[in-house]
Amino acid sequence: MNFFRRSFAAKVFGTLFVLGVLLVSGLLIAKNIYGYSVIDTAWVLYGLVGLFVLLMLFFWIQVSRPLKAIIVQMEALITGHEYKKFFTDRIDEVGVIAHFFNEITRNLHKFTGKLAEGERMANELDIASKIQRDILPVAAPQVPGLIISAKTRPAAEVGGDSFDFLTVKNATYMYIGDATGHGVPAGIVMTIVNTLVYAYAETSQNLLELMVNVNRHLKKRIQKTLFMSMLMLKWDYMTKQMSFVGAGHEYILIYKAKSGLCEAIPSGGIALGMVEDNSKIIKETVLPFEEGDMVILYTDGIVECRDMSGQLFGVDRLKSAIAKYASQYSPELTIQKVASDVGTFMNGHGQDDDMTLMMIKHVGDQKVEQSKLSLATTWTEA
Amino acid sequence: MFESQLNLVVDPYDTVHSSLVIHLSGEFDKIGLTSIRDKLEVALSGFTGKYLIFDIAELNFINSEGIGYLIGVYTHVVNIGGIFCIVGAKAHVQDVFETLGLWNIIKHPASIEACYTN
Repeated sequence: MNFFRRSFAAKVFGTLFVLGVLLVSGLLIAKNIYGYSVIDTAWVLYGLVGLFVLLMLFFWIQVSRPLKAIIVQMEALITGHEYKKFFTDRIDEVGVIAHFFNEITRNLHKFTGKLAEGERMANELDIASKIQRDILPVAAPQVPGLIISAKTRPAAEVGGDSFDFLTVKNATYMYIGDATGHGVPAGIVMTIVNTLVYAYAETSQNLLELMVNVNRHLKKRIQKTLFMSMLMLKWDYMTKQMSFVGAGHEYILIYKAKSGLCEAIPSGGIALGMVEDNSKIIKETVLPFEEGDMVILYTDGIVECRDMSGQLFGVDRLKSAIAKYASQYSPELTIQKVASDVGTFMNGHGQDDDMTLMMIKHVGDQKVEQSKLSLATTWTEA
Repeated sequence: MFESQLNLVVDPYDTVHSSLVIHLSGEFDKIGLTSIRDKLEVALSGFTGKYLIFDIAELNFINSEGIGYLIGVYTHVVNIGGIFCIVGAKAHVQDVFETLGLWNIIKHPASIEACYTN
């Protein structure tokens, strides 16, 4: 019996066989009772017509009607309308199609659920990215005695590079930072650090105290595998003195106008979040910063970018590029030229890490026509 | 030619010095860390000895992901009263540790034997 349930063809042939037997039996009975000939009577035709009608009826009930119902639901599925599942115990071809439809729609539910989850996560990543972009300054500040330019280009949706400028009393603080890796965890660390810098800038007595406070509170709030390197500068308007505190960041570069050379000074200290108390490790240092000189801060995405052969750009190339352009161009254009050199060096190699460059030029008492400055922090290449 | 992947060899536990020496070679970045994390965590999970030593003489590259992981291990070892050492760093890998200020907190003697004497 199972054979007939599994195969629609078996059903048709089985039914035809039964109907044929009934027809022949009917004709034999008619002949015996009424004496009609099986061969030359019209009853044979009537019987065949009746058999055909029964067959069509059977075909309509067993095949056309259920297939039409499945097709209606398939059309609803394809056109995005509401569709229903089939409840059938049939295991023949029609039953297989119905089960197949049910299976597809069930998987589709799972898939659309995952798509919706992916879309939700993508939306949240967009929000995180926007929050981070909103935290980063859209323009460099206009500070007496300085021309400042900064550009950043994140590698992922949410980057770990951070920089900002804030003015408190007679001083402007400028920092650049790089949180572990990139992506959301790095973005969260940079957001915490940015908030802490603002919170403690007003109340800390000096640059050193500010960095100690930021570190102490950061350490309590992040995983032990996360940290952020940072270089914080302080420009005092009154004394025209530039000092810095390093927290395990890259070199601080200084272009000396008199010599035309670019020097690299180790930033020192220890990255924020590595130890609970960094007060004995970090120190405040005054920079030899004269009129015409330029201070350059950068993140490792610049010096660790690679060309197609895997070679690193490196600090020496960066120093050479700065020495080449800083004497001819403004900080804004120098960054563009360096960015262009970096792009040429990479020559199509993907960007693995966030890249940030900040350049600060000492212009002394020289009046700078602010309208000529482009202070936007969006990374562009010349 | 540099190895592009990260490889890990864990020496048998040294009962004389109560130390575990782990040799890392290749490139310690996010991909490298993912490839050895399970093996490394198995090696570190039962560590209750005195010295945990990472021999990175054959390590050609380390980035912040690798440093972050080592800092996590360092913190764990210090918290259980152990001594965490890194030995054999190549010059450019030393630069990374130095730049981040890690030599301020991590012991980095010239050799494995020197870890026990310093």
